[in-house]
Amino acid sequence: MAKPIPGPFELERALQGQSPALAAKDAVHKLARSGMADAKERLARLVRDEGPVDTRRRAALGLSLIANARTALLELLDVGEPSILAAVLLSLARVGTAEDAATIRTLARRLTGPLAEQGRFAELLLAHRLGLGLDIVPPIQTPPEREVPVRTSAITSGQPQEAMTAWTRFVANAHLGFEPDKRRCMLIHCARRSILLIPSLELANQIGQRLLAARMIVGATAAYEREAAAWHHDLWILSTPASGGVELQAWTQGGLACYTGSGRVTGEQLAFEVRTTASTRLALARISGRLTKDSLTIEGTVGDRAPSDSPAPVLRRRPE
Amino acid sequence: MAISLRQIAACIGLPPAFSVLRDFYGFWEGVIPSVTGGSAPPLSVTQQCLLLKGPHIHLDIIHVGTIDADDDATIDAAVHVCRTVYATVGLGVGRARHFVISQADANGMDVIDSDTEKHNLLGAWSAPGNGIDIFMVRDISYGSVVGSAGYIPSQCGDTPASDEDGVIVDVNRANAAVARTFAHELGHFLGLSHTCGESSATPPCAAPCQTTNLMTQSGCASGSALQVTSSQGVTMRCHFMVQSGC
Repeated sequence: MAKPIPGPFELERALQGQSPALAAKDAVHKLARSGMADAKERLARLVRDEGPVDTRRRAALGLSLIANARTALLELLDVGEPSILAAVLLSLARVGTAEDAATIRTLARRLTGPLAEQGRFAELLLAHRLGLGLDIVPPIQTPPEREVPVRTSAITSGQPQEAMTAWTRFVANAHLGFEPDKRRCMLIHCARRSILLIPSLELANQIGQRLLAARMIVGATAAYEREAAAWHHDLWILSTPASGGVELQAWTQGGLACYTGSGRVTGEQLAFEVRTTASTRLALARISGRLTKDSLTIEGTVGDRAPSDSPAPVLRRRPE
Repeated sequence: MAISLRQIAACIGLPPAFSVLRDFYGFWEGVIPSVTGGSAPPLSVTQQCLLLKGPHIHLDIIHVGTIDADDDATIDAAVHVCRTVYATVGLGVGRARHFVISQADANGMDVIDSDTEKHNLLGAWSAPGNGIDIFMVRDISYGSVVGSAGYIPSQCGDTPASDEDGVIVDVNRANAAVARTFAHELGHFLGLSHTCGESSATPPCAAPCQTTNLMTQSGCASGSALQVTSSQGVTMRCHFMVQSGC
């Protein structure tokens, strides 16, 4: 059960950073989900305000949860702070149109470092949401990890009832960018993590034809967070037509490519295998599965990185 | 029984010349921190030495991205509160070393947007030695999450995977809130579960619910909620990162 939305006065105080009970950035989170008639205008105002960067960033991301926010986001593309601009681009990717691809690309090139990667991911997400061609938005390569895991354990399926509980608590109110498929939604246990796999309903029929024809957001995952006793959107799963089948990539909300692999389409069935990418420091997972019009099945292993093969970067003591 | 500060300091790895506040207690600002803004009460070096003669943990505090003076005061207060709370069940908090991941090296991980990004941060970095990694990040933007432990051991000796090894805490909040989150998430890492069940983080919280306990979910907590029971102390002290007494 979510905490109740605070009243307008309390919410305004919190947004101004004047509430001892509710931090401003949490107030933004609540405002974006409040359904208030003026939420869009208030969020847009917060993005432009000279307030804390984290509050402004959350406001920018929150706009994508509100209907008809595209125009408001386009008007915010002149914000000067790079991290806010990156958030506006990510938000625009969730609600924008094909016309916005070039705009996102142009502005993403003004960003540097990880923000530039977020900008590129925004362009990619838009391309998959709308099925844009490779000539319009080029792909981003995500090579898989080559290390051999240690201490491996099997990835197991949860009970259907667990998946339905998670569906009720999360998917029904989520903004995933596609119509989720309740029938083939499933829960897996990967090491200690519980993960909800949510395929797109668009793949319920003519799987092969759809996947081979255009880019798609084929699904998403949600992860269970114990502190909030809630499920949260974790990854988007993107497919791109490739020779002999499709390329699959899973990306985080912030634009980190974490799993990559390929899929083979046979009639009305997709068989796939994905692995942890080389660009992360996540546990090494190897996941294979089969998606048909009736079911989704998953198997695989997850294991740790051997410290000798893969030492973590050396941390520096903080200078005095 | 005589206690030598120098012997205890050497036992926890400090050099012969050290600052009591900065090195022995790990307060970066070199002053006794104030949690609520008032004047800070004095510390007992003797009590700290006694605690370190028993089971204790060390902390490696890893600042991710930019740090400002407000963050330093907040983190010092968190270490102080954690030490005070854990002392009530005979678990010492010893050395608190400070590490830094620059904004450039953080590569965007100063803001955690999802569960997978949390695990990526925990897997990417680890401080050398026998301290527990505590990552202080600028924002955890998903849901209402303000901190998270990489894992909860199910039994003594249960070790984390490399991408579960540590705790992350959102530093950009009020001192008292950060302090409780810091001690709470570290409690998870040391084996403690929530006291109000796991089905809801907000009222109506599952009964029996110890609303003043450190491990009560924040939405179910009343008051400062920093109590720890003796049985929770037993659980924490069996974690493999707990050092035997000096």
